Amino acid sequence: MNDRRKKIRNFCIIAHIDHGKSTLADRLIEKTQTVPSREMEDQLLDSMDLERERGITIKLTPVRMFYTKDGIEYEFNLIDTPGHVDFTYEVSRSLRACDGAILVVDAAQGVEAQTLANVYLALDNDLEILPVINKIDLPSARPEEVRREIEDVIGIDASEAPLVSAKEGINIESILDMIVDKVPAPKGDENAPLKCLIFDSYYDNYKGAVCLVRVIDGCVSAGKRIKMMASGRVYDCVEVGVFNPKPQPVKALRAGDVGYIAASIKAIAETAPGDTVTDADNPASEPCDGYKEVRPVVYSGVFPVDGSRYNDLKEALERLKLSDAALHYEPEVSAALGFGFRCGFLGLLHMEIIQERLEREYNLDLITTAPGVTYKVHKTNGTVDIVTNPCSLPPITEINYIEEPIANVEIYTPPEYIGSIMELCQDKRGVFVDMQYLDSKRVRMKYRIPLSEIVFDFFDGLKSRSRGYASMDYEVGDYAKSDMVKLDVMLNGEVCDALSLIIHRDKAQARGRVLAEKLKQVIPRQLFEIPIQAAIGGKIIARETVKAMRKDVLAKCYGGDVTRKKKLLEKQKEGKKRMRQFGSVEIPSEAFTSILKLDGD
Amino acid sequence: MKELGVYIHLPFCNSKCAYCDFASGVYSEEIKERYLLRLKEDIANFDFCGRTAVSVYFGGGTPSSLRNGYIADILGSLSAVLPFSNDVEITAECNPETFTASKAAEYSQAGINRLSFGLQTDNDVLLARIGRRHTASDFFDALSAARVYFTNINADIMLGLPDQTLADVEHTLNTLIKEDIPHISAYALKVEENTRLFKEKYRPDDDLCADMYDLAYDALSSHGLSRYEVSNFARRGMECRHNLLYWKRREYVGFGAAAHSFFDNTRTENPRSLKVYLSSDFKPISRYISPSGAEAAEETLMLALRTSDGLDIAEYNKTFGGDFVRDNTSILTPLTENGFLTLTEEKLRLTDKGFYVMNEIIVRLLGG
Repeated sequence: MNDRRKKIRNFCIIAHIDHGKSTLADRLIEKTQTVPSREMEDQLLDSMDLERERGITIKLTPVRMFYTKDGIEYEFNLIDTPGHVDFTYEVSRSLRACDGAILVVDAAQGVEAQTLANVYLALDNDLEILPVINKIDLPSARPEEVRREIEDVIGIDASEAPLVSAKEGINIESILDMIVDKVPAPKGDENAPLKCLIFDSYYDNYKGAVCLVRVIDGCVSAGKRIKMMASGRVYDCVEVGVFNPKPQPVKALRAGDVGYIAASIKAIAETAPGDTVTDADNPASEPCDGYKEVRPVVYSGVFPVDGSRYNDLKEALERLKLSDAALHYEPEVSAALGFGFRCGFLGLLHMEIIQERLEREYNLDLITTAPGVTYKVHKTNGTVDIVTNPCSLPPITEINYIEEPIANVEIYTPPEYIGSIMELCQDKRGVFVDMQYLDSKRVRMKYRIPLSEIVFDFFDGLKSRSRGYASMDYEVGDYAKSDMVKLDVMLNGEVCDALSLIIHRDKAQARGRVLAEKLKQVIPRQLFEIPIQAAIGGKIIARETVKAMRKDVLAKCYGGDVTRKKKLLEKQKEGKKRMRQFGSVEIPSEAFTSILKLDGD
Repeated sequence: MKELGVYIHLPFCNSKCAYCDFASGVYSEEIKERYLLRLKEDIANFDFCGRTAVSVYFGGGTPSSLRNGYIADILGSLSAVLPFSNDVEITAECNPETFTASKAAEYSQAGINRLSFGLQTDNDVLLARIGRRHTASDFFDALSAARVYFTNINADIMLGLPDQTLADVEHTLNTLIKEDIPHISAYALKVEENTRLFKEKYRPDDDLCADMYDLAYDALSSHGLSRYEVSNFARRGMECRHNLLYWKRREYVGFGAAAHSFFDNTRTENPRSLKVYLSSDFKPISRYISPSGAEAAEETLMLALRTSDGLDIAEYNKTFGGDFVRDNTSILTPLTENGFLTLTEEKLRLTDKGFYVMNEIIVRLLGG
């Protein structure tokens, strides 16, 4: 191994949400003086406002640092990883770019669901795992117990795990030393054909889509013709560089380096994470393994509240797509909501994040329809329809049977909540697979639960039934045959397409009732009585009525103040703009979103 | 003769009611005298352009709470610069507790010929609840004092007060019918922001209010008081001429703080603040409204539909061009078919059912 690579350490930090990953990253950057302290902002790696507010990392940002130990200067590349189940694939490919992982465990809370999930991912990628016990400044800290927990539950040696407080800056040097000593230097062959793993990409207005890469073998520099091995596309490399933590061009990236490649790539979709960049004129024989195409698992209709802003929404989605390859969308037309888009997301959090970014960064008011999953509809004519929108479900007479996606769910909980969580899982049509005591205070339950049930307020249910102690992880597994039906809502006798759902027959009745009740509360009284009906295949299963409005008169005309009346009427007129006209019924846009969370279900 | 209404705002009360967000309050005698001087000055300086007053209205506030001679003084200034028609209607708003026999004599002498009492309800508990200072018996005393000089009398009642029941409303209506009051205004309480009731989070129940309206309509119309405007009931010939000026979009000039005018196609609004008004350091908010433009058309529609007389379609088409019925068929048809509007060759009118939901109907007609 050459001397240069001996001084490189590529690592990441993994942790359960809220165990202090981002704070620790900030401390490492501070200690190595990578960023002048006046530029230090809390949680530097989380560059989006949203990430900061939610305290979670969505996008990955690598940082290069320098640290001197025993007179030798080492180059550290910290590759950040997102901390949520929706982004498991993003985690796994960023782990692939590392040689070691710092495992942060909260000294008070101990090992949690995502700690485990992330450790397993890291182990799958052959990373050296370096446990660190954080938050030792907390009064409730129990570091020695947690040390044992790490050894018992995860099964890795934690005897040398440093006890630190990232918040208070306690014992940070021991982590830096540990990185030098324990994270393996990168392997690879500088003279072999170029082989770089794309672990992420971002969009730059001037440079286009920029790939974040770990160079496995070979060397890349500006001017080289490069090729994406999965897509076969060829580009001219314009610039290579590293993160300091801001992008800084360098002459070349060599085996072991972490940095970026800019090649005037038009869209982020062309820089598929997990893909391999190679030399177009001297390609590597094999790409890096583990590449897979990311597919959305949750779908929802997204419409502008103000129909005239359709084009703004379209542009915003196009812009977001540039930087978020996982976002899928296609135009959708709804009788009730007009023109909008059917969007596909990695999961519920991803969906919320996209919606929030659209509203916040692009100043849009949105109506989102109930999230749904992808069904495989086997038709009587032998063909299979892939249905992501309840409105595209073929007529019953054409359906032979329907298959729905099933999630493999792992729930981690203290034993006292097992009973109520089992109830929840059963209620959500879950099938019990396995249960295991990890220690006296922790149980892992495995269930197979239809994804559509998880999408519909499963997290909330889990949290409330375990007082917030349980955590979960899921991955979408196979499909299973299921008795699904389409639940329609009729307003004044007409089916309102934006309110339709695909749902299991056993649940349709109850959901239909709650839905009708909820709509009755949110639809204001109007000149005419409005019958609300929930129906399955034309059969009415629930009915409510919004009574006709009886009084809407302005009070006294004080002293000839006509202006005041005019203003009030004007306000009333404005209010109507936020309503959706559906036949003779006016539906407030809140109605569509308020039904996403139904109490008492 | 070009007719004109005059509104004089007197923002003085002995206390503030729980539902009132109007420009009024409790002030010192000194302020009241400064206000009087200011009013007289404004009246003297106004160019009435040869109009004749058919109505003068003293509103408030509580005009009857002012000292002897205050109102006469204003009327004197006004008649010095503006001719009054022979049948001029001169109204003063009165609160029962401030209206005495001597006040009745004084008003009559000053030329006032119509009184409007703020009764609200004849239930003493409810009166106290909304912060009124009078009782039902104060009202009877005031009424007998008034009757010595006046026949043209109105009583305001309110519907939808906190704790008010249908039986309460019925009782109040029966009292007024028994007393043979020729004009009754029945207003549904609207809880405005910045009022005590708003802070108490009281909100009237729409269904109950509608029932109370029904009750009032039935009781009053069966006793010969017909509804000539959404909230106003009168014996034939006793309709309030002043209010009709507003609804017919005729001219009126308002004097005093927060007073509004519609004069020479211009709507004007004085500052609400008494302090600002007295400082003379303000410009009234003015807005010219083109007489044949869209805004004038909207105003005509929204004001005319308040009256039982309704909108004169031929007149409307002549003023604003176009064909009202044809241009609005798609809006009018469902409303007439469902009994909210009646449409004849000459008139568009709200039905009884339509009156209650007037705003919604007007908003639809205004293209909302």
